[in-house]
Amino acid sequence: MAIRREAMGGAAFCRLKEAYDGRKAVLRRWKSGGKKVVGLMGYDIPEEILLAAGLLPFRITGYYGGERASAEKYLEYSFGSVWKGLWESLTSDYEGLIERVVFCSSSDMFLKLFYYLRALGGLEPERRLPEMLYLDFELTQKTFKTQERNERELRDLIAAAERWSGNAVSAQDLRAAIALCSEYRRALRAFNALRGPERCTVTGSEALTVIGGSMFMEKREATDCLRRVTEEARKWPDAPGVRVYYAGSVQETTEVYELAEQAGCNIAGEDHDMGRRMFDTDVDERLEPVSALAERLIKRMPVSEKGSIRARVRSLGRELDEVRPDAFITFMNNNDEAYVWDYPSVKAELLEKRGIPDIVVQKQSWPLMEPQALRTQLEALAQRAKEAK
Amino acid sequence: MPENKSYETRSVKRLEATKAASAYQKEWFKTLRPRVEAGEPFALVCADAPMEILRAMDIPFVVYQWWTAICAAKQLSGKMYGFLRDAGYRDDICSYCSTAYACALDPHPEEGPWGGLPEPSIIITQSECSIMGKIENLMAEAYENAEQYVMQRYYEPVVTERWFDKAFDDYKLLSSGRRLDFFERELRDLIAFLEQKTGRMFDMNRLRQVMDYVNEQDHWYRETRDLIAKTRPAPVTVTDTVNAVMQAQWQRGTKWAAEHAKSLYEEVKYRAENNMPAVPNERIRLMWIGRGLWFNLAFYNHFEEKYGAAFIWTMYLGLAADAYGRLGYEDNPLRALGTRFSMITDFLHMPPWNSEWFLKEARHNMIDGVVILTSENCMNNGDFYYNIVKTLEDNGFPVCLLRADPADAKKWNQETMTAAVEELIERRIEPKLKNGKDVRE
Ligand code: SF4
Repeated sequence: MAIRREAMGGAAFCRLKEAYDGRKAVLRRWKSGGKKVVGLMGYDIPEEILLAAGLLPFRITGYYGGERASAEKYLEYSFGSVWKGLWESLTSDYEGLIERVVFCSSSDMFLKLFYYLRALGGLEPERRLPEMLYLDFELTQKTFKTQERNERELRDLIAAAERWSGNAVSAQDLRAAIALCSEYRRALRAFNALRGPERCTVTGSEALTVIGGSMFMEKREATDCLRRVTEEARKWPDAPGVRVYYAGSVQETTEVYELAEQAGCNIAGEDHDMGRRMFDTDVDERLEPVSALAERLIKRMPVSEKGSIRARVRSLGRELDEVRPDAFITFMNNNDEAYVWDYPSVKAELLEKRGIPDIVVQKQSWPLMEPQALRTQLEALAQRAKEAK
Repeated sequence: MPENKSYETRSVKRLEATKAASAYQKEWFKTLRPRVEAGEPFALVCADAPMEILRAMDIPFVVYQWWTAICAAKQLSGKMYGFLRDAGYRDDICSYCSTAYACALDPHPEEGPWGGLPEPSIIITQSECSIMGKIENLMAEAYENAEQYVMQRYYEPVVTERWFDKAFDDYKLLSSGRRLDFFERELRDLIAFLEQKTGRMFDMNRLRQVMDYVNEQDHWYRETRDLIAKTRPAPVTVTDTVNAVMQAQWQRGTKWAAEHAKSLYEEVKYRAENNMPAVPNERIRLMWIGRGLWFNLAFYNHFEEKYGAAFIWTMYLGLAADAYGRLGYEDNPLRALGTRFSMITDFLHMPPWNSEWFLKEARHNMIDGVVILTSENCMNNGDFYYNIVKTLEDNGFPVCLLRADPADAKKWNQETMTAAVEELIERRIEPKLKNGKDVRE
């Protein structure tokens, strides 16, 4: 099973799918429409600041069109598929299309990519590499020191955004942008509620398409589309398959989710940034804007790499309470394996206690090296989940 | 039980300084256990941690990556990673940083090297790699009385060219003001934590003394490195220097370590002055970039007889010579120290700091060819090798890349690795030397 006929029958879904599948076309359209686009390399960059300055944030995702020649040439094997894809996008597929990119410390690999690109600019000055800004947020420690540090980084972003746009950013501009993004996140959550345990009418791949597609739209249109697709999806038939929670490497395409669906699993929740983590936390609109944005960074669901093992167990516990899955997958791309160190604690403290069967999928890459083997693993998981039920 | 290998793993050791360093470490360990058992604080730290602060507060510590090296050299890696596997972790990942955690799972820790690792009360996280912090989470859980203290990191927005010309003489040029401020504050926070945890008061003058010893130690390493660099054939090879330097670096900032560095220099000098080459038929000088091959140091000696090829350079002595000393620190030792511990990763692993330095060292040491070990199961392994290889090759230094795990012998393939280095020698270096295109000229 993939995207179902019923989903494809809705105009809002089709619009979101068009954006999801045609990211580069979106970028081209924005550029040719005279918009000032800023690329995002990292999962924690507050779009609100860019929007407040009149800039258009564009989430950079990996190149999935075929061979990644530039990544193969310049990057070591320790860069997993997602990172290679991002490099390929920036140095090849999107070269010349993006003039400014903001990086942030969501993963150590973003810093590496930033340093490598900076060095590449020195090695090959003829390249049209974008102007780059790195925001070094602290995302592990939840302390006052962290809050202060992250506020300072955000002020750097404000200064850069003002420079790039030529517009001064006032507190009022920031509040308006925060309100816009909060509305967007609320719309995402309302849609995501249709993946819930009581009634689930959305498959994992449909959810990824909707959530991801909305990232490649201007915020107002995205919010509007999300509201409409939510109405459409209420009428979709129940999503088949056992409910599965996915923890692991970010999935920027629906390939793995679709394979899961073919194997009788429906991914109903995930901890990555093309899914639930996108909208898991709101900005507190009552607070001074910069400190509210910094506070959100601290409150978000910790990604494995940046979260302590205790924090990960706590946050996955909350996720399981909400999603109530029948099964659990830990999925790791080769060399994106921080989850290895969480896993035994997650297994002992959450999965075994709740009787949730699980599998660990390791050393994956894009394109999937052995889809059949993965499918077999997923089928066995679906079977175990049914039996456990 | 140590593992048996079908190839020779023990290297040639010529120097008294190497033996003295091992003997000192063993003795130090012997005294450490009773101190810890009597209730003294004891810290486990990663290689990037600001050890000088611990030294100044007289808090003993073990750098757990160096502990990995000791376990690997004693052929204990297989046993250690077995404990990880039994506890549900992967035994083929992050081996360089997970040995100390494996020790915590060992039901008989006293059977480890030198009587085993005592139970730490403090674990300091200070690394460019976030995974290390997670492994340290586990250590802190496994060692009942251990508390993990996490230091924050900060990237460097400014690239300083030729860092090695500035580090010693004018450290303030190394880093942006923001980063200098940042790490000074991190050190002050660490001090506050340690004071609270141990009940000991930090003394800035004691730190100054530690910094003086470090400068002295560094001075002798520079002299030693320079002497090896200019002497052909070289009086020693890396199998003489890696252990001598690493173990003394562990005691960095002590009188013993400074004196040991001096004794190392004097021994090397004696050999140089008395025509005692390490490899009498030396024709080819090789550079080893990457972590040391601890479980198989004999690999470095393997090419001596057949080719007259001597490995004479590793980062252990090179970095000790260029990266640790700081002049003019007196007014604010914390600020100077900040540029030391926070930048080692940049110097070694980040472009363009690393490639620039490797090129300078290759030239300085009259190197003929370079072998780079890329650590197989380290997610953080990425030094922009493309850039390093290009920089070296463009300047006439042929390079060969080996992909292996420096801590775990399981996956090591002696035959393939030997063949790769032999190919470098036979196909790249020898024809060059024959054609008279000696890169050193
Ligand atoms: S990724 Fe590399 S540096 Fe990080 S913990 Fe693992 S082995 Fe150590």
